[in-house]
Amino acid sequence: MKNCKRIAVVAAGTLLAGCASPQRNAELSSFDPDAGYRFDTLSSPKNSDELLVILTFSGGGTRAAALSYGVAQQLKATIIEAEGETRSLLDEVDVISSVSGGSFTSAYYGLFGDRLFKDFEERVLKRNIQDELIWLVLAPWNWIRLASPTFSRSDLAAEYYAEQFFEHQTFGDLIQRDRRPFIIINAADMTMGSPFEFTQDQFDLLYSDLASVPVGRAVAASSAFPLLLSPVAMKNWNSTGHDGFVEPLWIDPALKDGPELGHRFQDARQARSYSDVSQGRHFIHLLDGGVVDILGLRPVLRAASTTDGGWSMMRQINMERVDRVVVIVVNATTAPDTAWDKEEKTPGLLDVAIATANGLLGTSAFFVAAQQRDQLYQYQQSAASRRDCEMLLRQRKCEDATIPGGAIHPVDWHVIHVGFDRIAGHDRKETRRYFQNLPTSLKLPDEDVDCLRRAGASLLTESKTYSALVEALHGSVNALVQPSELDACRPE
Amino acid sequence: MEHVIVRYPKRRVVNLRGEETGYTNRVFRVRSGTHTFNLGEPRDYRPKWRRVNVTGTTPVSPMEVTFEEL
Repeated sequence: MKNCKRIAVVAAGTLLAGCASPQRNAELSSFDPDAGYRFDTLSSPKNSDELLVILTFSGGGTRAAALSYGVAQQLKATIIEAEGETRSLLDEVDVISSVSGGSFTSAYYGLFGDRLFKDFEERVLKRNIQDELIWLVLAPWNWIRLASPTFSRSDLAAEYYAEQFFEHQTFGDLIQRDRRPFIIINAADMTMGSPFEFTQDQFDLLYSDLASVPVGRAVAASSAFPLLLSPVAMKNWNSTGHDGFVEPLWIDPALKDGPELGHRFQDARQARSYSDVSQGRHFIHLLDGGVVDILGLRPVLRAASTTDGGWSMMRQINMERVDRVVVIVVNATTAPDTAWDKEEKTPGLLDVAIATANGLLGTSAFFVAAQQRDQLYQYQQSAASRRDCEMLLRQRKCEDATIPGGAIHPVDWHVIHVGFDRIAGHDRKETRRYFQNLPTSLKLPDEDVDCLRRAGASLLTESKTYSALVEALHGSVNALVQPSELDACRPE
Repeated sequence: MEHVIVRYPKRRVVNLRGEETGYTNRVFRVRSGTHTFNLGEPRDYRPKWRRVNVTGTTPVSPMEVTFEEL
């Protein structure tokens, strides 16, 4: 009899586990490339179009969330003049692209606006999220769900984030808010090894309605660090083809042009993979966005280098709608001390895994940042070379010389990097060392969070490019933190 | 990054796959590769569209794409 009961319990548990599944992204009711969560569909009543302000928040757990929060606080305190009004620079932010830990801050600000400064610190930053997630996994009532092959630890994290931080709000709620900044939460497509953005432009390719997706689920995907958390699955409603689907028109010619065109071909190959029936990609498994872009910069690079669908900064510039572009890169990556080279002993498996991960992330950050510098240089060069060429012709006695096409619409660029490597100088070595040794974790002591918040504000105002920007905007910085306050943060 | 100038007797918006991308007789930028240009509405130009592989341009020697007024 006892055995029968046990068998019945196990059978019921197995059945229940089989039924457990996370909240899936819904199918589109109809295809409309002008609706849904896209840059162009959000209005900007208190945000001038001529000034385009973009923030990128890197990965790095609570360390990244707190550093980006400090930057947001300082932007809020910075007052500028725009369209004859005085505004905070934060009100002028048009886009925030974020990865992993940085996505907690961007999503919270996107949903709740200035409420970020009232409760984010207590509600998220100073919370031991890591232990709470572990307890959820260990809780017996979750064992049955976790035993299901379709319900993972990240699904549990997604539910927890949605309930505890984001009040079950979805991208539909972000659409309802109808205001910038446009929040791009970035994950990584595990099969393609490429970025996956939580935007309707991306979800069109899955014939899915992003409005149905809880923001907490996007943050869970963006921060699903390999091995510690499992991938997050999105249902691809387009994997067997869909009558209503209209493939963006740039994809076919880009594929025909071939791989010689590099990024464009790669983007097209990824985009086609979702609707390619032969690939049968019924579910798209997503990992931490930091795996392919730790800085969250790739959507910005793409927007600046293409007019192919989605948010395109290049199109805005071509249409002469933008006069000034500001990109603030908040980089919470670290360079921890290691003891490996101090002794002959061979480093263990865990050390090798950590070194590999740090190496890959560091290399990715370096190359993406270098790509951004090259791109900026190309923009400046293309405008300057036309101007210089005309000047040269005039100097050579061709006084009426003009190059066909007029001057290229001039754009002022301000690229500002906020990162621990900017804590410069020998006398600040210990401060820099303190920040560069903070762990990547979803729990940090309150003092570390306070130091990170101060670092975000201080490193922004210490930037000469930032000072020049604020001056150009006839504004005032109103520094919240003095560098000396930051220097109080040192290893114990 | 490539540079294009679309020739037409009047100032018009240039479309790439139906999206506004620049103005006629002004240099603008596109990504390397094949693009389909037209001038949208009204359709008082010919041809109806031009499909061009834009590569190897420089800021001082943009690719020229010409439409005639009808």
